[in-house]
Amino acid sequence: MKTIPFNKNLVFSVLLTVITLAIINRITPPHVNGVFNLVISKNRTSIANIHQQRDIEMSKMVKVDRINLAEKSQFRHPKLGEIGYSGDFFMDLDAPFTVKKSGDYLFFVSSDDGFILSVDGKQLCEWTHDRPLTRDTCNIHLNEGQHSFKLVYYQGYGNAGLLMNYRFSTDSSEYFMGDNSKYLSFY
Amino acid sequence: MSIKTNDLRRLLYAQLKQNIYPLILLVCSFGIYFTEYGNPNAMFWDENYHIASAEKHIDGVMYMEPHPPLGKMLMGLAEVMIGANTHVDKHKLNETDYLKGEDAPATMKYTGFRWPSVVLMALSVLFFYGILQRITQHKLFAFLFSSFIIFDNALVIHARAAMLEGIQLFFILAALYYLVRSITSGKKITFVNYVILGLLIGLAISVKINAFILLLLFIMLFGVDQWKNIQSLNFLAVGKRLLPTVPLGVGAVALVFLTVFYIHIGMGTKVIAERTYKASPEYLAAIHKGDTWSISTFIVGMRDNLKYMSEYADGVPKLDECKPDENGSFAMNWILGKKTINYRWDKDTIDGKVKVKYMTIVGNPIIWFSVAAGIVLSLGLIMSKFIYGQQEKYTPLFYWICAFTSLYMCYMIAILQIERVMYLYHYLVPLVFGSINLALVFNYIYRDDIINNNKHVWINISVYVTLVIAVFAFFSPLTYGFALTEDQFELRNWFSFWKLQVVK
Repeated sequence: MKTIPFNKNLVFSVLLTVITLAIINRITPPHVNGVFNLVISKNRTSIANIHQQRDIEMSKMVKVDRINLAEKSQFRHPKLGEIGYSGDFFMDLDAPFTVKKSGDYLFFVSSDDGFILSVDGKQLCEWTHDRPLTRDTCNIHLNEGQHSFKLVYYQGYGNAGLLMNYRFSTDSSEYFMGDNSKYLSFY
Repeated sequence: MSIKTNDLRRLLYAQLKQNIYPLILLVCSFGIYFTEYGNPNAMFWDENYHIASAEKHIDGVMYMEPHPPLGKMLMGLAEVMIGANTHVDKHKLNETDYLKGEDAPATMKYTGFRWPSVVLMALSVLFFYGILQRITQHKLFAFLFSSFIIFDNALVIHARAAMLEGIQLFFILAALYYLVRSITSGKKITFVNYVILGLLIGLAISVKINAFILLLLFIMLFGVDQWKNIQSLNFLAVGKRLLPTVPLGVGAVALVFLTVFYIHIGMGTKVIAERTYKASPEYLAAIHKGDTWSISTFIVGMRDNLKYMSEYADGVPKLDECKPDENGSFAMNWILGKKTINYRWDKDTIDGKVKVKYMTIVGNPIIWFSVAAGIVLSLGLIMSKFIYGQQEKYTPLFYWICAFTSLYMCYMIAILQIERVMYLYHYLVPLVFGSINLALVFNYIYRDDIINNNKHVWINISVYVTLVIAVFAFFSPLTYGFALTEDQFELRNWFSFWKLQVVK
């Protein structure tokens, strides 16, 4: 009977390869599809109202795959981690989307602190001042075809977070903004 | 003339070639340990105690401490020699045993106090290399595995501070090297070997008491010295040899230990702010009389110091893992690096982002896990001979593995008997034993390939050492206090059992 020769060096090579790959996997910074470009702007002064005069100190653009930014009670993406500033910042998002099926749609915005949601240039709902993470529902009828939405958000101090979901009125399935479905698509 | 110059050049080249590996190691070691060691310019962890004690040596103030005084004496000596704080008013350091950050003079620098630990630890790599080179008889192998003592994050952060472990590890490695040298030199073991080994062990114990584990080195030296008599059960000859060697070895240890205390007691010429450390009236009277260098004062001073050390140890709390801010950890958990300690952190907001400079003791996981694996492998090897009766392949190497595994195991068993709270850095001593053991086990497994210059084994070792260095570099922000965001910190939080704590 033939036996497979035991190669100690090969065993150690395999072990080193596995360890190296595990480390690379662990330390590679996360990456997501850039569906939305968020413009995040740090304000010089404290923000108490979404409509207040802005005094922008610096801005940055962050690409995210979906509006799921409320990890650990902070303005954090589950994979990308913290993407905002330590406090007093605005976030602006202006993005197109395609409606695949005409009908009534429900948009759910959970924010800590304020927000304004507009679709096709028409304001749907808003929360102007600070609050803990709370969900608002905004309804609209949308026809098949291209549309756009605009989401403005601000964080004052303390905990933060922003989530945005949608669903078709007669279907109980809920999706994050950014996730394609049989109703909406984003890219 | 030109012949002479050529000869000299040739000689220098030969010397350089001969010592190229230790030279490279020394350059790397100083690069890692010495660079910017004055940062942070603030105290962390036990520096608050040791710096206050070291200053008392400089100013001749009597004090007592749970650890023997050699480490603090060297810190005080370096502080005077370097003179970084010549014009700084340091009187507050003499009025306390624990110097709070706000009481430290604002302009005080720490380069003097940290110097002995940093420099001695950086030099230790030479002993480490020497040990491996002498046992394995392979310079390149010893060179590559010496990276273990340079690129471990826990060793580096702890040694780049005014703490005792860096100084102690230098003397421990010196004692180990001397033992290895005495046994591998091919010369007969003499009384001088016992005395010199005793002096080195005495120095290690005079820094920190846990170096008592090194007394096992006498047993090893004696075992080799009397191997023939032990094998032939010639107990009379063994007994005859024991009679002079025990007093010589132990006497050398005691001589160093007592001499260090004699100097310590002699230098303590004044009592500041009524801080008497429960000294006996006789001792205090001798200090007031200015009679600190007399033998009679030494006897009472020594007694009072030992009593203080004992009472202090009894008063240290036990480990309480339910305490939310408990920094201590159970000894068996150290093997995998639990639990890390955040020695110091400085939080700052840069461009709207919170960044924190951490000074955290965390082991290089490649080294720590490998050391644990090495111990498992060597225990298996030892059992295969003594339980299953397998014949070892390389006898001297096998017994060296037995020696370093025994040191590691005995230290851990001894530590497990201690009830007081202990910390991750108490594992640094067995980590060094384990690192040597790992190199030896590796050499044992791949010895034929190493001797035959098998390319595959050298590629493997090179990749392994590269991994050690790369992982050290990755964790270096926690070691040197480079600013990290929360996400960058989380990338380094590899295992929840390490209990790394982010600063928000």
